[in-house]
Amino acid sequence: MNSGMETTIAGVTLKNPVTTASGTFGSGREYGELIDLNRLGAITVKGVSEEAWKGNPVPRVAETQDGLLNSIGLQNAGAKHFIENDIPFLRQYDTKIIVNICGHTLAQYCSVAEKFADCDIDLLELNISCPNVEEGGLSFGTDPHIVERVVGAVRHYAKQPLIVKLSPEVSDITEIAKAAVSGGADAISLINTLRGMKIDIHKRKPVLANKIGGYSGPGIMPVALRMVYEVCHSVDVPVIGMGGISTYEDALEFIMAGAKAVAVGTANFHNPYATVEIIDGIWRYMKENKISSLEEIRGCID
Amino acid sequence: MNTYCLATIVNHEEITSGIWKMELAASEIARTAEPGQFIQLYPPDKRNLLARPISLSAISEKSVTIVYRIAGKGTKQFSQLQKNDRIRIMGPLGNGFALPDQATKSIVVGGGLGIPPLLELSKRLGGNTEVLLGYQDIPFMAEDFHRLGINVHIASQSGNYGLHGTVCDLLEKFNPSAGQVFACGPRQMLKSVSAWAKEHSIPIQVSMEERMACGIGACLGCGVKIQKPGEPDWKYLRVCKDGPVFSGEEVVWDE
Repeated sequence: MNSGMETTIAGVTLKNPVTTASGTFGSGREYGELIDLNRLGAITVKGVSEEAWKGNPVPRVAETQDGLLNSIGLQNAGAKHFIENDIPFLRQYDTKIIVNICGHTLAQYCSVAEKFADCDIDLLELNISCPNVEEGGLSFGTDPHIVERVVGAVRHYAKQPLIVKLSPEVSDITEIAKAAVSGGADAISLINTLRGMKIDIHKRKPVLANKIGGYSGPGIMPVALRMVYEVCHSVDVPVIGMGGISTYEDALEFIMAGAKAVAVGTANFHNPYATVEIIDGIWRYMKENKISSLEEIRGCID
Repeated sequence: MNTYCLATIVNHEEITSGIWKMELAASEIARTAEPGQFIQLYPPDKRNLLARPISLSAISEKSVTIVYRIAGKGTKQFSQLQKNDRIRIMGPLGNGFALPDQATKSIVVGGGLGIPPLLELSKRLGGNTEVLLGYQDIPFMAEDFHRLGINVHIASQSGNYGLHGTVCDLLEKFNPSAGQVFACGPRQMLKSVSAWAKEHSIPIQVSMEERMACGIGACLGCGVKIQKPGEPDWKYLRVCKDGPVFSGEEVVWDE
């Protein structure tokens, strides 16, 4: 039914351009009780590290107008647990698997990429943009020289095509994207969250135990769209756009800005059916506008 | 099985100042819901992105009832909804209480807005149950517990109703014996009641609360520190999926 929606990222063809934003969808198990995971172009899983990480103190989430702050801190059960439990689960479905990997040190990033080298997954997404870990994460993603070095090192250990996920907290996103590509990135995804804060005026304390967290949701979409547009015009590798997408109209904006695929994140919390509704909406838009392939509109904005 | 639906409000009333009771027609949810489980309610204003987790205070054949306090923007919006309005909800969520066999004597301890989920629990537990409820002032829902024909003891911090003090003071005063304790309320209360239960070697189930995003276990927002017997260290479990009911002995009460 969805012919014309296929999209190819670094040689991997997704049946439609909709995936999930890492950290908002687990490994799909919980949402699979509500939606048909076979519908998704890909599932991008919660960040996986070499060993289990405990995550940050609670409270870890706070609502803001039109947005969400989180400081989960990449809590996960580690690569071994993921490989044994989550890959077999995901492989039951007709969808691509994108594994988001994270680390505190360059050695940890390389080690986790190596652990997945012989695994049955489709793409790796390198998280050098998480604002909620003290070492690694964002600190690796804001200096073009470090980006190029980290990507190059991980590229050496990774067997799957490598997506590099960028932080918006830089003055020139194209410089970082170019550095990632020269380091060996096969694709770019952006944006990760922006750092934000919320204060409870009655308790006179920050709502998040970590004080500062990553801001996501519809409020960040114009920033995300602008950055996706800029990156699409500055590198030749495929770009996966994300940041506040909650409707099919939002998704189409990213595609028109040049994105090969889009990821739905915070919207899943507000509407568990967001991903499938977006896929259906894109399909309806294509039919109504007599578009036979998304290529006809992709990157139509100069 | 988890259901996401538009539910019609069949009853909605303010039972005491700022505290509301809402009955929702949701037969799919009602059919499988257990005491201690909760539902996610989505604020009508979509600029409020997160659903509010609220535990079920009553479960009937075709409807579920919640009791909530106006605490912020979301609950304020809920309170403005009228009978016959519809609201997006998801549930039933979480594990719920594990019910002991009928012969076991149970103590049910509730504090403030932790009291509502204990009503359906007390109903299922039946006659061999002592209920201890602690309030700031007005003992909302106390009548509902009395109507179950079980022993109900009340404390209020204002001193206007029942014992002058907290529900923990009630517990110390009565010192009831039992085979199982159930508790829901503020964290410090749960900590104290767990300490009391440990001292008396009575197993305790506590229903916990934490800021939540997805409500179904995917985002890991709502962590609670749990150390299982035999495990070398604690880890964060999910209030929404692994809880909200945990063994009080396994909660790491360090905060």
